[in-house]
Amino acid sequence: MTTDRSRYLGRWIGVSTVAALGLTACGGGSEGENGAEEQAFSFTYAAANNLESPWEALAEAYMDENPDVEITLNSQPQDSYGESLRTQLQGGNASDVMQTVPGAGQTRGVVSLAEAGFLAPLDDSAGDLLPEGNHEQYTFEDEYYGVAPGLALNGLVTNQTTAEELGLETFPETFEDLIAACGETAEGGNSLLVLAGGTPQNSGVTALMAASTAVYAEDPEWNEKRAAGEVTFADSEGWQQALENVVAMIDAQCFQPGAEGAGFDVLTNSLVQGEAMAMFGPGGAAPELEQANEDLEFVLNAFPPAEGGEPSLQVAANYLVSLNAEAEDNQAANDFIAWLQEDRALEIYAEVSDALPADLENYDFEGSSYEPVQDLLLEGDYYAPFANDEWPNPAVYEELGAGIQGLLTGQSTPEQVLTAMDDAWGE
Amino acid sequence: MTRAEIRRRRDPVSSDPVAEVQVPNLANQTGTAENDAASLPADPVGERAPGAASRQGPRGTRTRFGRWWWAMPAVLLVFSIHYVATAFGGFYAFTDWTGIGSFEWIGVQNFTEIFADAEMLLALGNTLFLAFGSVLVANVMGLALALGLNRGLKTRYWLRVLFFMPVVLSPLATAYVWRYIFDFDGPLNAFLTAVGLGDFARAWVADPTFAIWVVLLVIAWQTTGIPMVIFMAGLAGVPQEMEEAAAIDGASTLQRLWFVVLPSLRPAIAISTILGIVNGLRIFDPILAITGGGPAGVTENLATVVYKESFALGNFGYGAALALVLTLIIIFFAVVQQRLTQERKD
Repeated sequence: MTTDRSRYLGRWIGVSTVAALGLTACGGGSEGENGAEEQAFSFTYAAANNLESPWEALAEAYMDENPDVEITLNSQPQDSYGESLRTQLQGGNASDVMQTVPGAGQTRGVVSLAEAGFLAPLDDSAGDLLPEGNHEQYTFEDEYYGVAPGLALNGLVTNQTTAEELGLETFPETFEDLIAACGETAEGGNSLLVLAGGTPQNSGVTALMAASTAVYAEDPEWNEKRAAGEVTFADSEGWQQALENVVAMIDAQCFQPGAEGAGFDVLTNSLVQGEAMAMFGPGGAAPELEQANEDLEFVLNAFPPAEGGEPSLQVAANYLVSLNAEAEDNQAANDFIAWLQEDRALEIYAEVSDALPADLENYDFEGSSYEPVQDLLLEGDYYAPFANDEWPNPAVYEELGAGIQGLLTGQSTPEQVLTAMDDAWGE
Repeated sequence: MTRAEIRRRRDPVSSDPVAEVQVPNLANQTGTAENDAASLPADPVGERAPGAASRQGPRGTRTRFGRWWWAMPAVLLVFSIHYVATAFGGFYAFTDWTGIGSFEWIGVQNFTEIFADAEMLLALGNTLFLAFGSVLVANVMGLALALGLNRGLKTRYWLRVLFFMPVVLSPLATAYVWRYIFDFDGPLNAFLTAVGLGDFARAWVADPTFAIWVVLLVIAWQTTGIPMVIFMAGLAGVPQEMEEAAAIDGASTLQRLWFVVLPSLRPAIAISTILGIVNGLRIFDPILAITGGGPAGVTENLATVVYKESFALGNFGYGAALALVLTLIIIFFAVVQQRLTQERKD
């Protein structure tokens, strides 16, 4: 009898619990419909290290200013971010707001994603803060698909302290001076430059630096001509010169021994320990390296052009924020993207990410790591976007990076590398 | 009283007239106590004598249906997750899909591009080289270790654990350790320099000649434990008396190994090589961690190229075609090995 009663009671408890849970779920839904859900959206972005993420800082600042808004942050690993983002978009479970990059040269490229119909077009004001020559990498069919809260500058991140100790008070101003300095430094048992030849990303940046002076400084429209089929990499004197310059640097022992197999860890270790003086990389790396060794001072220098040539800088908004097409009507997400172009957001992004602010005119260069390139930045005529952003697919840059490793090991010649890039470009 | 009679008394089901007919019949056929016991319905599903099930009526039908039904969830899961997904992947191999958006049917264009591309042929060659090379090295080393640690040594149990440990450890983690060892600034070059062989120091993982051998070495190190265990299991089945008899007949150690031990290990060798080749053909982690497919692509195999094309470069259709080629190669070698093993059994 007791057992029967217990079973009866158990059934009622079970049924009541299920019913209560069901009612609670319904109740939650109706609360959301009263406003909470309309003020909420999700935001996905890539994170490469444990340092404070600028995206997280921006989201938190926005929520502080707008207490009714709730942003769900989805951090993803940097190295597989593009693949994850594509999978989520294809599967229909991507976040409402997402970090993207300009152009179509990477898997997370805003143009490729917009072309596939995954992104919502933004207001024309999205292009207000972009530097000249960059706008095509944010647009598809004349509509903007991303806003940039800051600019990145690729250059030679230089350990100024070690350079001065080794007698290199000023960075070489011409390529010929650079080659001469490489020889002198190598004789002293050090290397002027450190290269992660085992990672296509770093070796590719090296070649792009060389190309920024040999190709894009003289012909800023070169990528457009390549897209139109008017020129090729293999037939371009500028590109041939750029890769010949890389070979010249290899022959002059500009890079550290074993550069062909080195990874990213070698870059930071060599610079922080004073074994090398400079690396090719983003300007935001300079303050990060100073954090690793506070006794050292790091600055950013431009890649020196050949005698009589013109210097060139690669300045572009390396990261964008885009809106998922499925969240086009989410007002909170739209408002957040609009806020990212306001002064407060620009300041936060520049401070946390160590990037150049979008508003260069009002930036205080004195004492910053960007001081050596202040004139070039402000003149503006030397702006060259990251060349690979304008390329049609990621395979072209992959071929360039692998090709530089081939130059280091003697497997490839500049002609072979450029031909492989043409093949990867397609028609 | 026979065991059949005892069971009939204990099991009310056995009072079923069908069962009562069945057991005495079998007992009468064999006429011995042992065979009588063997014919007991200990396993009412699978061990009945021929013809017994058909006479069981509804009970037998229920049992057979139950067995089939129980397997269905697993069959459906394997079919839907594995085979349907593979079929979809196979479909994309004939398209130009980039991983997002729309795609077009392009027939066998991806396949013609694969076989016209020298880099893909190099990757195919590397795939076969690493699979067969690692099988050869791992099996020879595994056999040597199994023979050495089979009996005799007091510390053999500890040594078995020691040599099997690389199989248990994460392949990716150990590959990074090996990469550190072979780095230009790593311990191997430091050792070479210390003993006066500094001229041989090099960036091993980025050397066009040596990089593929470094990968092979690491894979062999990671996988040797598996053939070792298989061979030790096989050696347990080799009668010690046979070896002793051969020794008394004057056979040397090598002769005993060649004429007594190895013939007994043939099934173990077949299993070990099947597993080794199938696993060797799809090696991925060590290459990605040690060389990343470099320098300039000389250590890429089909698995790394599939990953790179599909996910890093956004050529999903092309990557799917490569994956299909890799699958066909694996199936081919698996079938060949299966046939060889089957013939040996026959």
